[in-house]
Formats: sequence, C-alpha cells, structure tokens
Amino acid sequence: MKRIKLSLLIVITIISVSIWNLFTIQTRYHELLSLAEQTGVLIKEGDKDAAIDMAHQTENYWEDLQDISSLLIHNEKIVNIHASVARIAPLIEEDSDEAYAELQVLKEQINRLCDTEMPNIYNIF
Amino acid sequence: MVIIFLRSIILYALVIFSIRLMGKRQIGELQPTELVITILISNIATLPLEDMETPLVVGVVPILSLVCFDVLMSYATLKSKKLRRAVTGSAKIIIRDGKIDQKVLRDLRFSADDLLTAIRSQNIFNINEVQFAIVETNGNISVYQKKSDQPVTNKDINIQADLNNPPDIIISEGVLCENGLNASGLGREWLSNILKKNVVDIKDVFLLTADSNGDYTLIERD
Repeated sequence: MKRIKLSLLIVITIISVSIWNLFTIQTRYHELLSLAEQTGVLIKEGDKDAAIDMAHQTENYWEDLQDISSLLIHNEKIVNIHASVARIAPLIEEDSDEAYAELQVLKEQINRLCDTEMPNIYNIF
Repeated sequence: MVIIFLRSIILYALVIFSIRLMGKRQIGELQPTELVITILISNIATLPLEDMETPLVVGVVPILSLVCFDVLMSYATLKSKKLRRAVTGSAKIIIRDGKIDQKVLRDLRFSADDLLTAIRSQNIFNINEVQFAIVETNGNISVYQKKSDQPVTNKDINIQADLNNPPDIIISEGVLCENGLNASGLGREWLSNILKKNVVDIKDVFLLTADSNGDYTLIERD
C-alpha cells in the first residue's frame, strides 16, 4: 500500500509540475514576446534611444527566464533565442536594417517554442 | 565531465529507486509489461547522459511516470480480474491428462522442441510422465508429473516427519542478528550458554545458525 500511495503522490506531483511548467512557459514567453513587439514598434517609429532601452529590458527579462528554461527546455532552442536577443540592441545602435529582421526571427522562435511546448495533437503524435 | 558524473549519480539513484518502487521480482519472473518497462527505463536513463544539451528532467519524468503507472496498474489488476486478464493474459494448459494440446501450442507459437526443453528443465525427460503442463502468464512452464512417476514422499509410506523450520542466522560475521534470534525462539540465555560452551565471544563467530529445537552450527572466524 505504501508503494501505491508513493506512486500516486509522484504522479500527482508530476502532473502538477507539468501544468505549472506549461503555465510559466506560456505566460513568461508571451511577456518576452510583448517586449520584442514593443521594441519593433519603437524601431518602426524611429525612436532609436527608446528602442535600445527596450532591447536592454528584453535582454534583462531573458536573463531571468533563461535559467528556469534551461531546466525544462532543450538547450538548442534556448541558445537560438539567446543569440537573437543578444544581437538586437547592437544592431539598433548601428542603425542596421537587420535589427527589425532579427526581432522577427526572435518572435518566430518564441512562438515556435510556445507551440512545441503546448500539448496538442501535433506535438503528442 | 563533472556534469556527466553528477548526472550519472542522480540517474543511478533514480534507477535504483524506480526498481525498488516496482518491487522485488527476479528478471525471469517479470510480467511482459514489467519487462518492457525495465527495458524502457534503462533506455531513457541514457538520454540525458548521452546528450548534455538535454535537460535532466527529460530522463527523470518518463522514468518516474512509467514506474508509477506500472505500480498503479498492478494494483488495479489486483482489484479487477477482467483488467488482469486484459493486461497479463491468462495461463494456458498445453498438456492435459498427458495429452499435448497442439492447437494451444500453435497459438502460443511453441514448437515441440520448446516444450521438451521446458519439461526437461523440470527434470522430466519423458513426456509420458507429464500429467499437466501450463504456460504461465510470465512465459514460465509449470509441469505436474503423473502420480505414478512422482518420487515417494514420507506421506506415501506413512512416515511421520517432524515439522521443523529451517535454521535461522543468529550471528553473522561477529554481529548478533536479533531478528534471527527472535524467530528461532531460543533467547539470549541459550545463546550465552552456546558461546560459553564453545569458549568464544560473539565477535569471534563467523556464522551461527540454529533451529527452534536448539540444533546449531557454529563456525568461528579464521
């Protein structure tokens, strides 16, 4: 009976942590996405200083998020996002046209990560 | 390198915990589902060790989940006969009253050689001696020999045999085994008498076993 209770406890813990993990990834990555979108809007408006400031905010937010992500998500996906986040601020400072393109890549990577972590029919099968 | 080592320690502990959680069964006695889970566990445990980019949780969650499902399923099968039959199948009689059921043998994809090998493993070399043979759900074959071919027992020749428990271990490598002493029902007084009689101390005894009648075997340390 002790084994049954322990097994039940483990299964319940795994389910709870999985739901919390899903919730955290979805909310925190959508927050990151929103920061990236705001940076994109500022680049389009030509407000370079505000765009650089927002890009740094995105970087800081990512630094926090990266630690928890490395526990749950395959490292390759995290490295790609990290590379994109790190490139945005320098590209804006250089007035490079690539800054906006890099932001689109970052947004695409975040969307893709959120999609792949979501338990839907395509991910399960 | 250090990461691999630390991950190995964690996974080693996890695999031991998982096997303990599954319960004490010998490999040969595993049900098919348990065998599959054991193989899966050993496979999954290697994933985070082979690829450092993979988070440890990728190995931990499936291992724990599979083991827990197995334990819960075994509990459910204990409660429901239908579920048990669906999950583990049922035992099949392949020899009944000394006659081989060839249809069941074909259904189980057993050849005559497989059958003879299994019977020989039970120390029966003539198929005519078999009354019943049953293929158990774990694949083992249980054989019941014909009464006329079974060895003579005390009961057959009306000999009254003593009901004796096997000897318990009282001292093992200089350490007193309280459980053994209690199980034998002999007590500490008996033990001290035996030690006095043999002029030894507990720490000088390699092995002391005794049955409930007080018959003992004492081996001193070299």
